[in-house]
Amino acid sequence: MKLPKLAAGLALAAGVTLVLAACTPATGGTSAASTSTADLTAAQTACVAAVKADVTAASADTALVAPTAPLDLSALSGKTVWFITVTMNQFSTDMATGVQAAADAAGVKLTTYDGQGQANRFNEGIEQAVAQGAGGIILVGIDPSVVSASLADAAAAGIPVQNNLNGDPSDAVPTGMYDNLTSDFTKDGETEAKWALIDSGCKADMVSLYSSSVAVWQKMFDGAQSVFTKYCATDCKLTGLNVDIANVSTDIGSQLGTALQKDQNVDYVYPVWDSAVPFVSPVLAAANSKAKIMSRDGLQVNLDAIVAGTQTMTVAMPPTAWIGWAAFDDVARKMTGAASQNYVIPTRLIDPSNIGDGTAATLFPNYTGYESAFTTAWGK
Amino acid sequence: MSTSTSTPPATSTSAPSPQTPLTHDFTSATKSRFSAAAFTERWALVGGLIVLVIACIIIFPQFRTASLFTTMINAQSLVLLLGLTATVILRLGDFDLSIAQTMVATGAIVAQLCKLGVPIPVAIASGLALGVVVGLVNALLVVRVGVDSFIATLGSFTALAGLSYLITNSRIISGIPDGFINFARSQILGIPMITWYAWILVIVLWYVYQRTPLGRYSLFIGGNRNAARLSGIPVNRIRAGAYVLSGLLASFIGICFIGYFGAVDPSVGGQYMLQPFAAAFLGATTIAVGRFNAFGTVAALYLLTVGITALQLLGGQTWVSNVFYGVALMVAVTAAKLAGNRRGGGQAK
Repeated sequence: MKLPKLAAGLALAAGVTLVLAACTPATGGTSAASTSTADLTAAQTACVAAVKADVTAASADTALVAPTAPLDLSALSGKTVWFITVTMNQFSTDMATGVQAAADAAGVKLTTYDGQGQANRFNEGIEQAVAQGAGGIILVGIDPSVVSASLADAAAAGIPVQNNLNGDPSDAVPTGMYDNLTSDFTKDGETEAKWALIDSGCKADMVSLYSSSVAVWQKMFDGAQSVFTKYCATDCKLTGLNVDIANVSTDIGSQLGTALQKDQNVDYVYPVWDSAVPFVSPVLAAANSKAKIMSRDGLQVNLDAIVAGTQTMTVAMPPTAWIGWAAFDDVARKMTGAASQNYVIPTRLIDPSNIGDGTAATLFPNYTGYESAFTTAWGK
Repeated sequence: MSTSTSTPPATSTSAPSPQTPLTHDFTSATKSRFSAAAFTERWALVGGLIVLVIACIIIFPQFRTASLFTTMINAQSLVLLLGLTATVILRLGDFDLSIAQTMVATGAIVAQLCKLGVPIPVAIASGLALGVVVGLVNALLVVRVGVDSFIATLGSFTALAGLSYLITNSRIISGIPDGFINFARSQILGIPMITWYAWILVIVLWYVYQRTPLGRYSLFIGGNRNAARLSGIPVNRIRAGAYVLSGLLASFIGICFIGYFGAVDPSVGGQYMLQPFAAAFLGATTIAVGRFNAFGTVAALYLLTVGITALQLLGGQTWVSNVFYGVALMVAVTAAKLAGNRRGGGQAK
């Protein structure tokens, strides 16, 4: 009985040794070959020329968005602003830090409420804000349709509710809310697609990951699709993968893996939100794909990845804490009856050509010390 | 207890003599005569998997490439590891819902410690220690205090979710050292290491479940805890040990997790909570029908994966995959339940 076991053990050890000899390390110096544009057709050349100016403009430095009119905060003494977010992820945490800093500077109390991704929690948060006599509500990334009854209650109580990062600036303001404070997500999707057209010489084969259940993600995908259709209908390909938002990490692995097998010429993978990139990377590694990774938001972790060369580009918003300050200023103006500043959250295309060291000071130099622009307007 | 694997004589219908004490060798495997119905029941799902693969090879050109198979297998590695871990407790008639969040919390601790400059072995040891602590807490609540395992481990899951956010300050932690990435993503014969770990765990668990007294004790405990206790099996010790093992395995998976993704997102624990259990329950309908078993879990998960991949190649939307997953689970488990009723019992209830 022992002899066969010993033989089996020796065979196993020998097998493992042989197999280890065939082991391929996962990390190492592999870089994607850059696209040659020397052999473009006339149509491709025209396509690149048509989008170049937009990409150049999107890559340029972003001007500071800050108050241009003073704001008297004295009427807000004793008031409380509620910050209710879809989920307390990294973005929300950074934004909440900014809102808190602004509220502290303004002498206003802030209550932060984590919606935990659950519609019942969203409604509970708004209802609690109403019950506790909130002065204003900043509602981040929550679809107004799932909180319509609570928004009606807030409106009845005279509480202004800001629709934050939940659509394009030009979208109609939802019932029960007073303003859209957001980026132009459709345009950002267009910008990403245009960048890929230039980078590929209008021969891009792109897979985009989004979820139709998140309105702004759908807008970005639609924006990218419109660009491909308009400028590169013949030589380019865009495949959309509508992932299950509740199972993003596993669904990306499954759907993207299959898509890469279905089309082995994919050279761009574009998840429309930054924090999807960690789920994309292992799929590309397993498929030995050299596809370039694009995304959107500008989280520091993704900017660092561009510096390191493991991601190719993103469309970044200014420092997230600044969004918090702008959101607070906007709701405070509504609470005091001051005129809206009609803020639009700007974005900048970031790629290896302008990434520098990846810090906010390098990418958004006009936002260095942005706080003083707000406190000056507030007379603080 | 004997460790003999010899077959005991068939149960006698005659009354035992007073001189002969009643004994039963719980460590021995039983053999039954061949039954076509039982054979079909055992291998239907595996046969279905083989038929599905052959059909896909005929229909889809992509299925004629090795890379598609490695892609499918690779995408399910973490779920398979978690599903196998889930069977450790499920066999005992309990639940451990905390494994997915133990994985994420371990990843968060290890990644954060590495970022703070703590030596990698210390970081890994800390992560594994978390798994042991989680297992001990679960064991204390479930085995010692008697709290329902579903509730207790759901509580652990939720607490660990909060801990993950605390450790990471609600941020994605990247910059995982290359050693972890190589540990999970390096390839042997074109297959990432994380998949090999899952397959090794399959073999280890199969051996323990099928070839050791401990495996059979776990089955008896899951089937009838009181009867097992009366038979002299150290029920509480085995249950407590299983929770610690489950926590330790989940922590190991956490180390694989950070290497696989190269980052830790503290919010993903919930996404890995139920799928492993779906695989484990579906796996209990095949090979060792009515029992949570290692090879059944693999076969079930791969059946679902092949089916979903085929649907994706056909252009099916996400909802189609979800419907397929859910219906497959319902049909298989219902069929197993009906078969179990016909046989007069089964463990996977």
